[in-house]
Amino acid sequence: MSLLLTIVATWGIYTLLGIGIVLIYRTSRVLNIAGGELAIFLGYVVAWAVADGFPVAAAVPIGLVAAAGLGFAVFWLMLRRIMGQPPHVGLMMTVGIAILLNGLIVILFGGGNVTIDAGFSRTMALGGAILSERDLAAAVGAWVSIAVLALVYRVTDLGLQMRAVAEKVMLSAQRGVNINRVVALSWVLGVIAAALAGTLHGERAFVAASAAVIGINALLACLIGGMDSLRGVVIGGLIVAVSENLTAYYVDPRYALLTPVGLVLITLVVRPWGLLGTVEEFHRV
Amino acid sequence: MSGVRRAPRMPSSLPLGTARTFALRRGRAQWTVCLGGVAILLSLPLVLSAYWLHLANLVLIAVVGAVALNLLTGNARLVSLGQAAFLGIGAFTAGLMSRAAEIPFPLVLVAAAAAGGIVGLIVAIPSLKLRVLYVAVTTLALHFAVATILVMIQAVVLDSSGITLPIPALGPLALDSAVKWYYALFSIAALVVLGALNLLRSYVGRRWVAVGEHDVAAAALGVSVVRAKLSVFVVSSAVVALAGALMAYYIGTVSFESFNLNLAIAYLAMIIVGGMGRVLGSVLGAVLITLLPYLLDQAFAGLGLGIRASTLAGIQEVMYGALIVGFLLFEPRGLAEIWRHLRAAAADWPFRYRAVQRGQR
Repeated sequence: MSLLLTIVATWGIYTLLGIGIVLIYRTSRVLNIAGGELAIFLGYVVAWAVADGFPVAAAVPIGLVAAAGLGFAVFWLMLRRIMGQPPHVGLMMTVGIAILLNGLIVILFGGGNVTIDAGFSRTMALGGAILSERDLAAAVGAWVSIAVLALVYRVTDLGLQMRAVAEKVMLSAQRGVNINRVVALSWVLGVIAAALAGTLHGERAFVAASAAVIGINALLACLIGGMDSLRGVVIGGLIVAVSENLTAYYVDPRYALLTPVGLVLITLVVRPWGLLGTVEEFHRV
Repeated sequence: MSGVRRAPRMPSSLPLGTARTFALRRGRAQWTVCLGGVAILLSLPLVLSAYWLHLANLVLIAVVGAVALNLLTGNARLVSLGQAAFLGIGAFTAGLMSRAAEIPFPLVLVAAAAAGGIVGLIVAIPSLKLRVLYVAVTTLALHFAVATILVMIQAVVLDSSGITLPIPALGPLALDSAVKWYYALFSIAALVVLGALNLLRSYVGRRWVAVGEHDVAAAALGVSVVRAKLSVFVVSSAVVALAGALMAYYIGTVSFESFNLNLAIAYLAMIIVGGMGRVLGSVLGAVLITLLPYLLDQAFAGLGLGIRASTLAGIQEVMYGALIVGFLLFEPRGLAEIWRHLRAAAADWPFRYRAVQRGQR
């Protein structure tokens, strides 16, 4: 029961972070390796605000504003200048951003374990089972955030424009979509998703320089589900969370990452575009 | 006019730069510069202090690894985050072999390279179907798989904090001092550099570049994409594993902690800063990125600032990141390109531009 709740919470966090990566990938065709570092960096910002005496209800918006600013800056100052170059350039740039943020985490926040205390206790009794209230809060927070993001993507004009840019950049530009603005906003939204994931991870466990590994898990979830599919990430996140937690619980926490990595390699050999990804992607010249 | 030395004949339609690139014979001046450079490098142990000689040896090992990575990532455009994994495979192969039996040093190096090549082949197979971006993730997955396996080996099989390696010997010559290591590593690095330059001029290297530029177009021109990707992965991983084995022997101990993701990113920084797809770039980048942490350390010590080791590591990471992003934005062709510009400027001095026709100089 407690394991089940842990799976649901980590599933939500990986999916949230994965949605951030997919949003960015769909519009700007940049595979964002730095997702985990962005999440943890902004998680530290929230943790720092909480430690500074802000109530959680104020600290989280502070983190989200920082996320929006960071996402915009990263796109406008860095990725925008290399759009149109071969895909490996953008990838390497996010590698650079990842290690840059990692260094900043160590310099600014020390990089040690910090838990974001949102006032939830570690245990609660529910019908005989002992559950972690923090896991429950993280699960609820993650799935509410995912629902909001999905709604933005499905219902709003901005979401429509993002989907249009993801389909065909040239055509949407001709129909009057401001490409730079839409891609910049997708970076903002993607980094906000990462910030939420980082905060929730910090709430249920802790933020630490080493916790950036959740970015790898999210990336694996995206690959299993398909890099350009939001629904795919939800399924991929479930597969990663289940395989990781079961390995950690029944075998050894040190080998927890090995099972999802193996599953991804199998996916890449059998079905490289992922469970729900677009096949066409791989034949485009 | 019979006494005048004539330039080798070139087809007149080729632009000057092309003629130079493809020139089979080198001018006397070029040979002089080359031999002079080698002579300076060979006499370095006479002038360097023990500390700097140690750094020079680390640079030479990094040159071997960076040149190999540049073939894969710079020329074939397959971004690899598995550099640390391949270095670790080489180092652990060397460590485990020397622990099991007394096997001659060159044989261990060959075995380490073979192990790297085999794993490279295995990783290459899923990447055959994939586009560029996914190779990064496959190699990242490899990194975590190898890291976990190394932890397992160290914890379960060895039951210790690491492996200590014996002092290796090349035939009768034991590599027991930094000077001897310098000459051994210099010859290996020189062989790897020359080998890479030669490969890139051969059909093998051109196939890699063609596939890197555009795999579909290359396939349409009759290049076997499968063979190109497999061969570049095998060659690159084998040489990287060789560098890992050299590192293990040079440092004297092997432990899984050294082969983390930051090491892989540092190597990526080397080739981006140095120049993607250029052998000279790998060398320049290896020098800069290897020395950077030591220079930083000395700079802070010189300023008299007491900085904690963890903060220093953070500053180092920030600098790696800033260098990667900065070079990608402002000089994507890296230090090698800056060097080329400087050389051209020096050749044309005091004029700003090169003369349009040859006769006008």
